[in-house]
Amino acid sequence: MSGTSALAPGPAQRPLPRALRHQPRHRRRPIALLIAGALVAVLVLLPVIVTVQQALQGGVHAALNSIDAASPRTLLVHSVLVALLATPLAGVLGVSAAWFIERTDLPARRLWTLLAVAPLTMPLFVTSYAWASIGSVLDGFLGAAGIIAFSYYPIVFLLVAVALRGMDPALEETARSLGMSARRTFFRVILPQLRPALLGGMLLVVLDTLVEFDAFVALKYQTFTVHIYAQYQLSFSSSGAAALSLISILLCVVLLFAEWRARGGANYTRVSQGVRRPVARYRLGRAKLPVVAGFLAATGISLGIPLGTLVYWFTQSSQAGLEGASANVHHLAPATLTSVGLGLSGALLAVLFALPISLLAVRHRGPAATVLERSTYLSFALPDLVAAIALAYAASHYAPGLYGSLLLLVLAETMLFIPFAVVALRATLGQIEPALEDSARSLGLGPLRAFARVTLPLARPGVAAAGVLVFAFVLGDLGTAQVLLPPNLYTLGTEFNANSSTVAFAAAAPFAAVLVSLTMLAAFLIMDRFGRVRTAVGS
Amino acid sequence: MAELRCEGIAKSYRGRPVLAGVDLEVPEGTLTAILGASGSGKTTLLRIVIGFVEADAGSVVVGGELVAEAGRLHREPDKRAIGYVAQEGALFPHLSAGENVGFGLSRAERKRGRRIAEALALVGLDQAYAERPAHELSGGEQRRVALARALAPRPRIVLLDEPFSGLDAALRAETREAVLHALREEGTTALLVTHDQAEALSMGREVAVLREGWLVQRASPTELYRRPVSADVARFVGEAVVSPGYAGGGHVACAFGELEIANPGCEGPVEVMVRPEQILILASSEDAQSGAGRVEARVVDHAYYGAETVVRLTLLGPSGLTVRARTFAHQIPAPGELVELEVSGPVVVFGAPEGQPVPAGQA
Repeated sequence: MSGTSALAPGPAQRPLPRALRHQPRHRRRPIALLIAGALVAVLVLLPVIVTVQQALQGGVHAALNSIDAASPRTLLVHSVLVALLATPLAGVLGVSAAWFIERTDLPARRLWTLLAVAPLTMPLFVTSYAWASIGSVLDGFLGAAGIIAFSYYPIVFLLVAVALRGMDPALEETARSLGMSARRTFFRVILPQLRPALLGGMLLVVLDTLVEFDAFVALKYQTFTVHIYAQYQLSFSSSGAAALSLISILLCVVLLFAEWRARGGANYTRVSQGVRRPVARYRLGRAKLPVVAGFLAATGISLGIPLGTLVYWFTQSSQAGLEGASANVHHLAPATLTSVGLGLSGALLAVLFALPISLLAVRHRGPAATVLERSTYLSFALPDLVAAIALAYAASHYAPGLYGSLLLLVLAETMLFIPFAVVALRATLGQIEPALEDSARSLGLGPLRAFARVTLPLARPGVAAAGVLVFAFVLGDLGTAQVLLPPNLYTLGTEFNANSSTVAFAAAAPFAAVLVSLTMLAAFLIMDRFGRVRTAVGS
Repeated sequence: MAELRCEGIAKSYRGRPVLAGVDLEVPEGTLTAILGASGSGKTTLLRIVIGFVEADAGSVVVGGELVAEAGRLHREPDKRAIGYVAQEGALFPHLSAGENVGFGLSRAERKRGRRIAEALALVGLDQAYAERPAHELSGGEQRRVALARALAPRPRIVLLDEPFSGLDAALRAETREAVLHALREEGTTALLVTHDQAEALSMGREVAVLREGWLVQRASPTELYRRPVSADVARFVGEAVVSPGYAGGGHVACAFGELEIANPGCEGPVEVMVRPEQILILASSEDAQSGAGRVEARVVDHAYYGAETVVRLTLLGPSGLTVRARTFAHQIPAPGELVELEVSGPVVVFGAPEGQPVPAGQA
C-alpha cells in the first residue's frame, strides 16, 4: 500500500467560514415525524381556523364593522398594559428564584423549589377567588398584573433553572477568574445564555395574559378577552366575538414572530458538552436573611393568599355552608374521578402530540420544524371559551359523534395545554446527546426503536414532568370544561365554582381540598423531574 | 479488495462547500486514518459514510454493496452494518457496560452473553466490567466499551470519530494500543478520523489528508511524511522548513547548500522541504573547512524535552533563514554559539508555489 498519489487538485485556499466548523446536526428529512407534527399542528389550529371562518362569514367588511362597533381600543390597551407589567415581573421573579436556588447556598433549596413551582399548578380560579375576596385593594390593574405575574413566574423559573443546570460551569468560573464580580458575571455571562429560556418562558406568560379571563373578571378588570366573553353572553353573537378574536389571533402571531426573532432561532437549552461538574455555589453571607425574606414574600403572595383564604372562609362558614359541605361529600368521588380521568388522558395525549413537534425542534432544526413548533402556540391565540365554542361548532358540523362527548373535552384540553408540553419536552430532549441516538442507529436500530430504547428511557423523568404539568393545568381549567363538559358530569373545578359563594364556602371546601392536594402533588413531581434526563456519561 | 469505497463525495451547507468531491478507498482489514484540521470536512465525510448525512453528490460502497448514491439511494444507518464510535464514546448512561456492549446484538445473543464477554475481552476488559454502570467507568474504559459495543455485532467496517480526544497522553497511548489490538484481532476494517498527526501516522496503514474539503493525499504514513505532495501538506503532517531553491540534474541548490532531491523530475525554481530531524548539528565549528552540503549557523535558543532538544538556529548565509533542528545529542550548543549544519538524506521539492494544483504523480 505504498505509492503516493495526489488524489485531487489542491485545496482552494479559502478558509471555511466559522459557522461550518460546528458540525451541523442536519440529517435526512424525517418524513414520518414531519407528517405527525403537521397533523398535530392542524389539530391545534382547528379552533383558530373555525373562528376565522366564523368571523369572515359575513365578509371582511362585516367583520371589520363589528370590530369597530365594539370600539376595542381601550380594552386592548388594558390587556397590553397588564402584559407589559406582568411579564417582566414574572421574568424577574422567575430568574431570581432560579439563580438563588441553583447558584447560591440558600438554605432549604428543595423546599423553595417546590414553593416556586406550586403557584403554577394552583388553579387560577381558586387564586382569583382568593384575591377577589380579600377586598377592593387588589381589584383593577395592579391586582390583574399581580395575579398573572405571581401565578405564572414558575414557568420562567422552571425553564431558567433547567438552563442554569445545563450551563457549563467553566464559563462562569472563567468570568470570575477574569476579575468579574458575581453580579457582573450574572449580567454579562449568565443572563445572555439564559436568553432563550427566559424569552420562551416570558412568551408563555404574555400569551396567557392576553387570553386570561376568569382572573380578570374576578378582579373586575376589563380587558379585551373579558369583552369577547361579554359579546358571547350578551348578544350570543358568535360572529361578533369571532371577529374580535381575529385581533387576538393577530396579536399572538406577531408575538410569536417577535419572540422567535429576539431569540435568534437559538435553542431553548443548549446541548451541554463535556463533563457536568457541580458548580461552586456563591455564599450568600449577610444577604441570606433578605433573600430568604424575599422568597417568603413571593411564596406568601403566590401561595399564602389562596391557601390562607381557603382556610379562612372554611372556618368562617355559616351553618348552611357546613350542611352543604356534608351534602356535597357524595359528589366528591365522581368529581375527583372525572377530573383525574380528564387530567390523565389530557396529559397522555398532550405528551404524545408534543413529542413529534419537540423532537423536530430539537433534532431537525429548520424552517419546517420552526413553523410547526410555533403553530402549536396558536392555541393561545383564542380565549378558552372561544376555542371551546369553535370546537363544539366544528364537531356539531363535521363530527356529530364527537359533539357533547367527553373525548371532545379531552381533545380541547389537550390542544389548550400543548404548548406547555412542547416547552417541557424540548427542555428535556435538548439535553440528550444526539451521539447516543447516532450510536444506536449504527448498531442496527431503526429510528423508532432507537427512540424507544435510548431516548425515551433517558428522557423519562422530563417526559413525566411534562405530563404532570398538563395534568395540573387540566385540573385547574374551568372555562373549557364549562362549555364542553357533557351534561350530568362535573369536575372538581366546576363544583368548586358552583359552591364557592362566600356565604356557604364550606360547601366548596371538599373540592378545594382535593384540588389543592392533587396540584401540590403535581408540583412536587414537576419540581423533582422537570427538564431532567438521566445524565450522560462524562469522561 | 476495498471494503469501503467513496466516490466523488460532495456536500455543501447553505451554499458553502464542506466536501468538494472526495474519493476514498479503505482496503479490507486495514485502518485508514483521515487527518484533517477542524473544519476540514472530516466529520461530515464520516457521517455521510455511516448515513447520518446525505451527500449532495457521490456514492458510498461498503463491502461491495452500494449503500448510498446521492439523489438515488440512501440506506438508513441501521441497515448499513457500519460500526461507529462517537467522540467521547457516547455510552448509554441508563445501561451497564455489558448492556451497552450487547445493545446491537439480537435478544438471543444478548441473553447468551458470550459475544458480550468476547467483545469486552477484545478490548482488554474482563467480565467483571459487564455489571458496572456506564458512569462508573473511567475515560479510557468508556472508550474501550464504546469500541466493544461497535465491534460486537461484527460490522463490516468501524468508524472512529476522534476516539481518544480528551484522554491524557499516557491513557491515550494505552487506549490506542487496545483499540489497534482489538481491530487486528477481529480483522475489522476501520476508518479513523483525527486532527492529531501523530495519531494518524502511528495508527493508520494509510493516511488520507483532508484539507478544506479536498482529499489532497492518501499514502502510507512514511510516504506521507517523507514525500508530501505540497508544502501545505508537508507543514500539516509535521514540522517542515520550506525555503526557495533551484533544481537541476537531481540536485537542488538552496540555503542549505547543494542537496540531493528525493523526488526528481523538477527543474528550475522550486520550494525545498526539510524536516527538522534531517538537520544535523555538527560539533562547534572547530575545523572551518566548510564542505559541500554544510552551512554555518548561529544558535538562537533551544527547548529541552529530555530525550530530545529542539534548537533554533539562524543560517549565516544570505538566506538568513531561521530553522529548527532536533538533536538527541548530549552536548547542547549554547545560544550565540556558531555551529555547522548538515542536511542528511535527500529532500523533497515542490515545483509549484504553494496552493497551486499539484499534478498527480509529480511528487
